[in-house]
Amino acid sequence: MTFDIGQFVQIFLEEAAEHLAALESGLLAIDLQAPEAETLNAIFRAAHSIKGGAGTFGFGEMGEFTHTLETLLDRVRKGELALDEKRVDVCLRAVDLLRSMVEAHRRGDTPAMDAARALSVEIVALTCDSQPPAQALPSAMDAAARPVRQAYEICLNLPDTHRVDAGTLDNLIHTLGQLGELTIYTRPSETAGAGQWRMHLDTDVSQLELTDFISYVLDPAWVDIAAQVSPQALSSGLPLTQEFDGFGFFSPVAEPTASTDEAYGFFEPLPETTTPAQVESVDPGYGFFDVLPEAVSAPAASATSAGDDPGYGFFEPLPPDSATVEPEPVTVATLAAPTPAEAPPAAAKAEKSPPAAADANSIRVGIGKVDQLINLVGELVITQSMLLQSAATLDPVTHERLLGGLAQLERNSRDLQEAVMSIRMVPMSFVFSRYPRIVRDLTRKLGKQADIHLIGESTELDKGLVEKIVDPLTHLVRNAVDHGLESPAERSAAGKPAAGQITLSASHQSGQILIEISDDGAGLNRERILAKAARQGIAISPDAPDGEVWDLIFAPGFSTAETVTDVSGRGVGMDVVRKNIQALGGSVLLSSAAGRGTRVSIRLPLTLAILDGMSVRAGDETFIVPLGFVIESLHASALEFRSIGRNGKVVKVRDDYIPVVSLAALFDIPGASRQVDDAVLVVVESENATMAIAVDALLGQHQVVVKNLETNFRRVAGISGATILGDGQVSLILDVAGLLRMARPELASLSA
Amino acid sequence: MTATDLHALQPNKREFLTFTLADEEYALDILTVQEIRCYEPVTRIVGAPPFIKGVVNLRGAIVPIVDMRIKLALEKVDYTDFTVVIILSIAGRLVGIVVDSVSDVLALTPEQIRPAPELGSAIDIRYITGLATIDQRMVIMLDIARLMTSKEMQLLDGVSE
Repeated sequence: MTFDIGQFVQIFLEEAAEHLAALESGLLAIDLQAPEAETLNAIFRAAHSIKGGAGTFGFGEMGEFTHTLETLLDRVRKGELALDEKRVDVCLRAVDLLRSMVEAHRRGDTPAMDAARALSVEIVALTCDSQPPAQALPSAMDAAARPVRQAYEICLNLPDTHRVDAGTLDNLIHTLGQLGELTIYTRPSETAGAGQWRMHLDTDVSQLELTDFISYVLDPAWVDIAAQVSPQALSSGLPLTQEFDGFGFFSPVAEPTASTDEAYGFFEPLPETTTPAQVESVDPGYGFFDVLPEAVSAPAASATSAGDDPGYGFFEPLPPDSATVEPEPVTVATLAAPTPAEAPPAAAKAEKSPPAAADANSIRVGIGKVDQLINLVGELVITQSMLLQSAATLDPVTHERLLGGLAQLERNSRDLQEAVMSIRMVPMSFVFSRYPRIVRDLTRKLGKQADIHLIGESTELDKGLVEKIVDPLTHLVRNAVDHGLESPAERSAAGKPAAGQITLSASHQSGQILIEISDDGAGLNRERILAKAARQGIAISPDAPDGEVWDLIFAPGFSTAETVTDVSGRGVGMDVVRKNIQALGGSVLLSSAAGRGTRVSIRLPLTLAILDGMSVRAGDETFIVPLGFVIESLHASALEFRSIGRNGKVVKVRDDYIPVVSLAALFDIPGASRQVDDAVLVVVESENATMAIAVDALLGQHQVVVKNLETNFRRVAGISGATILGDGQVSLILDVAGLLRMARPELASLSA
Repeated sequence: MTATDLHALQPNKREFLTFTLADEEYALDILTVQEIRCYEPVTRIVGAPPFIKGVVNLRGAIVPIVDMRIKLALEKVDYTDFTVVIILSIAGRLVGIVVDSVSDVLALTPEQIRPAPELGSAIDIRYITGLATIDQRMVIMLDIARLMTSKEMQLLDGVSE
């Protein structure tokens, strides 16, 4: 049977991206002072799922890297390590790195491993750097976990066939130095070359961790680590590796000396006493540990910790080999009892069930399929309205049942259309979830403090819009942190808490979505904006209302930040933000109060797939004007026209003169009147420009399903898309903003 | 669709749809044809060249319609009940071409197609892959995919200007 693994790889990559998102949001949500066990578990599970999947699909390097991360997270969740800022930072960087790996695999590339190697060295260093959080550990464990100093002889035999990167090696040596007292006896003459390193390390890190750490960077076959009996360890009488739980990889095989010697025996360098076969039998295949005949120093450790180690559910509990194993009585009791041996996998399963249940309630469908569904429903609605039109001539008495059925069909098809459209809607959390991270990174970089609040994350928005709103929103959030919030010192001076508040909210308002980004910073500086406007030669009265002053920010090339940082302030931005949002049929509004903060409000249509349109006729052709741009419609007969230049015309609407463009002339419609004097004028506005479009008649208002012309054709100037009318005919949708831009050169010459 | 794909199905023969434009008979690869329809009124596109008649609604898809007769500057261009539109699917895009009539489906072996001489057919020699003679009739073999994606058809973004 042929089996295409390719499609599963794609699914894995998508899922990995989701797990990474969960990992990131979990890390950001966590309260470092009092971490919730559930969050810690969720973070760990996410890392674990990535590792499992990566291994299955042969992304070994990704699996290995995630393994180091998982090890760290596992110790954190068991309370053996405190989750501090440093560790969260490293984890976030690991998330970024994994994300780039996922991206690389998606493109079919092989990700570069240098960064992963360097980062994993850091992760392992933080994993080994054990500072158990005092409150999280039971006192017995605490005693057991007391770091015990131990001396190791480390020998690295670097073959000249595989050159090791000098940086990696330096990094390794450096990190080893941080773990304890490192003495290097011999080193190869070449810095990065082949040869033998011999060193002595005095540290409180367990041998297994040490091996794990070194063999992550170097081929395990090149590494030889031997533990020496330290007098301190002997006198302490404690199994020194007990703090390390062995992850259930090592069952208490071998080590007959342990039974006779109690705890001391396994510090003797006794590689011969354990056959490699035994070690291999318990190795689940990560390949990290197979060169560790000394790893037998771990059995006691794993033995004691096996009770609280869930084993992650994928290692079969090995039946204790009574012939070879006779450890301390207490340990045997724990291990030999069938319940704890079987319970861990069950516990692990139970732990995983909530996310699985959530997944079962949703399916992943390509957007193409949804669009096809929308098309078909659109067709159905057209057919239904055609039927309704033909039935209108029938006698209602004789055809009562038919007409009743048609009315029913109309209701059903409308409901169906709404239901299908709702498939495209996704919650705003898809957009919002990325901002806590951005704010965190930015505040670090800028030396500020900020809390971010997300409100209305479940507000739904069209998928197509979600993708397009991300960039403008990111820009606004960056602005809020960079320009909006003051430094902690300035804030304290102003009597505000040092941490600024940034709020992102989303809500539905009268068929639109309202997104607001607000900060409690210093607010916009009116004087500075006016001064800048004066420097740039923008004419504005010093007494202009606030709204007009704030509007200047949206002018191209305008930035009020005093210094240009790499975060923002280059003046390309707000104009682009406004343009992008207007291109989506939305609007941006800015409000600000000195000393109290700034708020940017964005209004957007709920979907790009449907728009409210006014259908107009010019000659024999029908066009749709998006209702969002229409201010009013007027009959021209009562209005006063003025000619300007040879072709230009303006109409006086109340006190304003508005340029008039005939749609027939603009689109060269055959057989349509180009006279505007007795036409119907549709006044439209976009980007603060207004114009009146002269048409022959208004036909009505409807919701239309927007179709892209570019799917099978190309872009057409002045047209934003097409739709299918009730009679099956195609009608073009006017691109009002584009028309205004097209008309602007003429208008500019008119006003000059 | 490449020649090798077809090779697997039918060792030598490829199928072609023939249609007429004025007095000339043309053939195009039948695998590019999605369907054949009657001519229906179109919605005119602003600023498009005259041979692009406009767009139609093909079960929810907006499909441009090209009148080959106008493109080839034939004298007689009228739209009757028998005017035919061939809907082509080329490079994942749909386009309809208006022709005088659709005549036949031919199965041809490569040997039956001879290279086209430099002669005055209405279509540029670049879009002609050869000539075939069937029952004393000469059929001009078109590279329709190349023609429809060419700059002069103005059907795609980026090549129109």
